[in-house]
Amino acid sequence: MIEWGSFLIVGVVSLVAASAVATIASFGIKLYENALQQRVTHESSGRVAITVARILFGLCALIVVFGVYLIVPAFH
Amino acid sequence: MEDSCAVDISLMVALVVVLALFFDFTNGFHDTANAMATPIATGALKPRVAVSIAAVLNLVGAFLSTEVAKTISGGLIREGDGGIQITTTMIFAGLIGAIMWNLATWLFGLPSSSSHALFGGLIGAVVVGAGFDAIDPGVLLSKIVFPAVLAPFMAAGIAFIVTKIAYRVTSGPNAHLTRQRFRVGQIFTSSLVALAHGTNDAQKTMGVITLTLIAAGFQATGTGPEFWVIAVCALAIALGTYVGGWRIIRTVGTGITDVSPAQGFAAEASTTATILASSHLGFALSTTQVASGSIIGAGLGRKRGSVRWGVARRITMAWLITLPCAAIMAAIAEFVARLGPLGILGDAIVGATVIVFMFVRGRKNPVNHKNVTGEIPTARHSPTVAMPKVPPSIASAKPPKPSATAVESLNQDLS
Repeated sequence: MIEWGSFLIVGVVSLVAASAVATIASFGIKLYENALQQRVTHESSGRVAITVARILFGLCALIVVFGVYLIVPAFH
Repeated sequence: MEDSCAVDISLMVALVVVLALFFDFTNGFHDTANAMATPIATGALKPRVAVSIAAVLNLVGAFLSTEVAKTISGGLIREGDGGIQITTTMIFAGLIGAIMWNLATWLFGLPSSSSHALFGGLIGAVVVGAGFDAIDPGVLLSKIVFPAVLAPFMAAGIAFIVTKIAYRVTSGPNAHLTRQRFRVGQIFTSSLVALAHGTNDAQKTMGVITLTLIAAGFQATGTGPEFWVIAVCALAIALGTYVGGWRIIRTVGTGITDVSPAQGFAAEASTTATILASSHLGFALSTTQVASGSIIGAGLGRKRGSVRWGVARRITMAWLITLPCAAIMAAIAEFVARLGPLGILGDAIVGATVIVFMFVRGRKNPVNHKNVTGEIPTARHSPTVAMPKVPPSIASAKPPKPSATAVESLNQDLS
């Protein structure tokens, strides 16, 4: 009666998607914060780290855009 | 229409439309918490700003899709050819039951599912009006009961893992400052939840109104919602969202656990992913249950984090009894409505009185944008500090100082 197959798929897809977003966002903010700290203590300019962080934030933005795409039926 | 033939049909339709819109309003303000409770709790968004964003996104979302509106009961009630004819009176009684239950749970600050209340109300009214045969028990189990049991566990499990990931990745010398930055992420994840909510929930009311118009012969069978119906439903749910069910926001945001920005982000990301996956992969889950489950999972995922199980138990209880309670109230309303015009008038008067009573009762210990987060100062600034566990079921319990205000007022709400 209950569709365990689709339940399982929903669970796995949700887990993978949420974990991916969290991993990307976490690495992004960690790099960003560390770079800022190093800049304050004059250890390094942190330019590379900040660039990488921005790329990660860009990835997060893409995922958000994909979320909007999924929500709005007119797009698909 | 035999049971409502004595009442002028256009008057009855007008009554149902008004009730449906009021239900839509309660739906909005009941569910603001799903999207905005955690960003408000962590200070990612100011309360007023949060509800405004949610309101706008609900308004926009309502215009985006009318897919769900075409079938409100999703096969739950055997309607149409070979099944029963849902009358305007049944919809009227069903809405009364759903609204009563939504307001009762609001008064107690409990995040129950508005969809379950609506389905419950319709089921109760239809059972009295047309007998038990009108309900498909298989669909009831597979679409409502099982998902309701599974959704919170699934969401909690996902949020637990995601919280662990967020904490693991951001651990290190600057962990504390780093994790505050999750607040920015929270704004995006919670906005997605609000948008998804708008595209789904406003449609249920559109469906109810359209069904009524069709049943009354004002609209052709098989047609979708009229534009004015879409517009007023969108406005009603947006207004409800903006008014904000602050009591529920407080329970979800600060009552279940003391949410840190990292946890809030993890919970919202899990909720968003689960809701989007469930609506696109064919296993519908209640947003309310997913959102609350995620927060419990996030609470458990943090080292030395704590979940107030008393609050969680009350919420679970509310989930379990939502459908039957709305059904019972709707059944009584339908029973009375079948007495004729006086019965319907009686329903309307009793309904209005109870609604006014609940709002007046709510004003005795108001929760609004000013006191919605209570005073839990340590939770915001030191994510690793475990908050004292307070059994919320004991109203007289004296919690330690830091969280006294919040927990005491929460107790008042829940007791």
